[in-house]
Amino acid sequence: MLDTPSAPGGRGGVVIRMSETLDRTGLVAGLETAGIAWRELDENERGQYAVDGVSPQVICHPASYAEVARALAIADQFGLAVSPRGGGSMLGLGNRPRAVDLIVSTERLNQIVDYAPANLTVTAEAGMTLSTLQARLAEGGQFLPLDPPSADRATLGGIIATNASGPHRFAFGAARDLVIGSRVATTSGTVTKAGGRVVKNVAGYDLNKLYIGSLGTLVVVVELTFKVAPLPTSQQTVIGRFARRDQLAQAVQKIIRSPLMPTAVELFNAAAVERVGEPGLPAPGTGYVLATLGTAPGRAVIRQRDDLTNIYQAAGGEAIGTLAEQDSARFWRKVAEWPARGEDAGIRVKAAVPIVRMPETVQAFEAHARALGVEVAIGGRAGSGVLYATWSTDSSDEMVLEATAQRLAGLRQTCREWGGSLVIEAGPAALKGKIDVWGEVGSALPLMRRLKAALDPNLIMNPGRFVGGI
Amino acid sequence: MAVDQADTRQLVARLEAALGADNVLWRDYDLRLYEYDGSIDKARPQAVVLPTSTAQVAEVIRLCAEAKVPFTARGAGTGLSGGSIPLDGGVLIVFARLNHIVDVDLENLRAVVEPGVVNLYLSQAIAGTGLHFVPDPSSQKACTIGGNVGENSGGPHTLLYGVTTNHVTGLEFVTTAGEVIEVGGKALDLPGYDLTGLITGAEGTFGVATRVIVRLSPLAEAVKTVLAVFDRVEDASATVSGVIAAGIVPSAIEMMDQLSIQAVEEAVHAGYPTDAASVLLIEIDSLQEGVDDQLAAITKICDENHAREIRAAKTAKERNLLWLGRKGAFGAMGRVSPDFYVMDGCVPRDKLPEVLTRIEAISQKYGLRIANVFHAGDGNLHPLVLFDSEHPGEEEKVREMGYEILSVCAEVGGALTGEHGIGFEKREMMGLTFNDDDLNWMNLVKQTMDPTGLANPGKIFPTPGKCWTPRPRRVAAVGW
Repeated sequence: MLDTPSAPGGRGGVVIRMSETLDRTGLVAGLETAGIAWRELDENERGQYAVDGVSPQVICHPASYAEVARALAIADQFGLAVSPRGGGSMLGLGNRPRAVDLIVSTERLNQIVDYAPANLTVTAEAGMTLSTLQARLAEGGQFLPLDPPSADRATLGGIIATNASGPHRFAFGAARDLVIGSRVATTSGTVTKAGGRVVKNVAGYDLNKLYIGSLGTLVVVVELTFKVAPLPTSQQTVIGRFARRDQLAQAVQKIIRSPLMPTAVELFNAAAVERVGEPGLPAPGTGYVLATLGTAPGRAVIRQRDDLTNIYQAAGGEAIGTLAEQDSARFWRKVAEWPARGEDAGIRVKAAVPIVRMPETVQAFEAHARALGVEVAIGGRAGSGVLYATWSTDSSDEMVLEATAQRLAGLRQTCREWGGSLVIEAGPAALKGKIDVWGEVGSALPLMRRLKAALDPNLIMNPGRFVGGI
Repeated sequence: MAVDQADTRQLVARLEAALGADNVLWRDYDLRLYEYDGSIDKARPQAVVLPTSTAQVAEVIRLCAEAKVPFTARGAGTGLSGGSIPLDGGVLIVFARLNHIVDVDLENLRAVVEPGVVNLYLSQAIAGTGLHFVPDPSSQKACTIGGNVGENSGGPHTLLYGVTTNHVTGLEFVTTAGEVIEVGGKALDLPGYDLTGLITGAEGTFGVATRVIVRLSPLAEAVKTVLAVFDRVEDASATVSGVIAAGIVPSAIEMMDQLSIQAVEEAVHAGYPTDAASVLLIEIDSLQEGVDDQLAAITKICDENHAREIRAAKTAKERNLLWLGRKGAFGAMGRVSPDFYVMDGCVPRDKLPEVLTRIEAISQKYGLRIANVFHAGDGNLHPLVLFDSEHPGEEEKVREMGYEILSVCAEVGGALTGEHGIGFEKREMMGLTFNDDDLNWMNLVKQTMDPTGLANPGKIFPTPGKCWTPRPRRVAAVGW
């Protein structure tokens, strides 16, 4: 009843199931019998819960891990497409789904399961928002060093499913470096665990890695265990301006290979600076701003500040100023947020390239933006090679979308030649009809398809949203 | 497994045709050298191959698939859970000749290496660049990066820097069908499922990696190593908790108890006080200023917890001597006991005092001594059960003690292995922390990644109805 797994999701010619053809008698009866809270969506809500214009009819709110698994098993039995939903902050990610019949919300799974500050780990249900978790951890003098946008809305499960991350990844890594255990609900109706609550664990397969970034195409993650870190006792942010990309690149190279070990190394062009919205952060004109966060213990943080300033200047940059303590913390919360600003009206692209390609990637984006006649905000993790570019677009103008798709295809080709990737993280549904948001994944795709087919044999989990039509 | 001689001859002929006779071993005399690893189990392969290229590895795996013969990858054979033991015979793929550093890419903080590269050689090869490869299992002078990937190896410095999987960004990988695929790369966040992360630590049961892309990291500017001496184990445990609670993350916190100290002193004379109940070896990596400040804070916490002596290494030589004691601990056990059994469990850090007490109770219950020498900062225990296999019944006791100790680890929310792997050694114990649904799900992944079932069979998964048996050792261990 679903399309073949090899069909490229979101492209023209793929049948999107119309809501009226869905026979939901069995689904509804199943949910009722299982005692799982569900409701039919009204016209309004169907628009609100639509994924790239594909509207679901039914939403359910399981109250336990077992209920999530039961809901999946019922949907599986009737071959209905399931879209897991956390806070809805990353719904733009993915190709247009082939179908969305049932939304499985993790909203009610929002408790801390185990928090042992002395163990530097926390276990929480997947529907808890990141900001709620951070508030709890702060009581223990700790934090989860994972800082994607929309912390108030984004749930832990959603962050893991989308592999969302932020500036702190330079020092702490992304989800794959912080998740040490998980429980997931499967379409066969089971709840299974991988990893555990200890920081070193090689018992059994590290399935956590398989779930991170899998965009709800395999399972619904219902519980996560993270490594956490002590909150820094002190912090200093050094902000500088660089007129030229080669100066910027020189400073970044010097910083990432030095023993200064900063926590974040972030780049912004003028439009990105504007999106950050930090008063006193001057627009760099045609140049760039580089912000580096130091959180080393004791007096070392001052040493970080001073040495970073010197590196900026030696590379030909202008050190504009520093932010300390609370001002620094507030600044980085805004930095984490900017790529998600204004995405409703625009396009957000993530380019992940080998670190040394950062300046060329920036240059390539700027050239394409000029050609499209748009102002692009570009910036991101200069020390990790992960950049975000956003711009607004007229989603009703077919010509503009066509030109944008062509430009993105060209940029993607360049990134791929460098050994990187370009992913369209958000954009108009109409754009997704013209370009695959992920791009090609290469020789590992057959293995990925086999994993999908084994773990979700009826292909009900977010069908068509992932790479290669998965 | 019964091996048909004619089939073996035919397989060897094909392997020799593909790799050249110099790269294939099949005489009994040669095979004996490859039948064991750092654990005690033995199994003889039908043939050993020493491929010199990815294409040769792929060809070997295709030949194995054709002949329906299992294959097992082997690095240096330092593993402690039987991961590279060819339980069902077949072909042992040895990476001794696929041992080149292919690419050192300092600007991108990456290196590309063949799996046979010895762990320490990579950091040595880039000495002077200010960068190094972080994972440092104590067998690092011998163990290979391919083996580290297979086992997701740890080491003493994981507290601050993470384990192998955190330092691997991509692989070239040969599937069990003999296809060569690329997963991950030098760049981060490549789209698709994170197969690099899935394969790392899978103990060679999915196929074979032929190239590894690793992350290089800056060396710390300053390193300080401190030995803190305690008259009570509880005080040492409280110090570990105290350091963590103070928001300090050292690069390593190692603990040794009296029995370990005594054995070490007898063997290597590292200068540990033999009448102490416990010592902690704490290492801090940071900028110079950070090291000084953290050292002051740690000293205060040690004092508050009644440390009778705190000794900071003043020179590199002193530091090396302190580590020599810790690193020589397993080998030193031969001084105090004819046999010992190395265990590897990991518990939540806040459960350490409770678990140590319960391990002591198990020791007393059975009347066999247990030495504890372990990565306290990670909660990664290495109880060493001392016994004498010549005494009737002691092996049986060790078996029961091992099971009880790991049951305690499981009961407090811990793991059956922190860094040595499940392998053959602990497969029958998997049920202590995973239920049937968990194991069936993992097995589904296994069957998908390896539909032939030929990749390192007999590892990780329990055989229904079988009992666990211990793997004691008489020889000095190189890994920990």
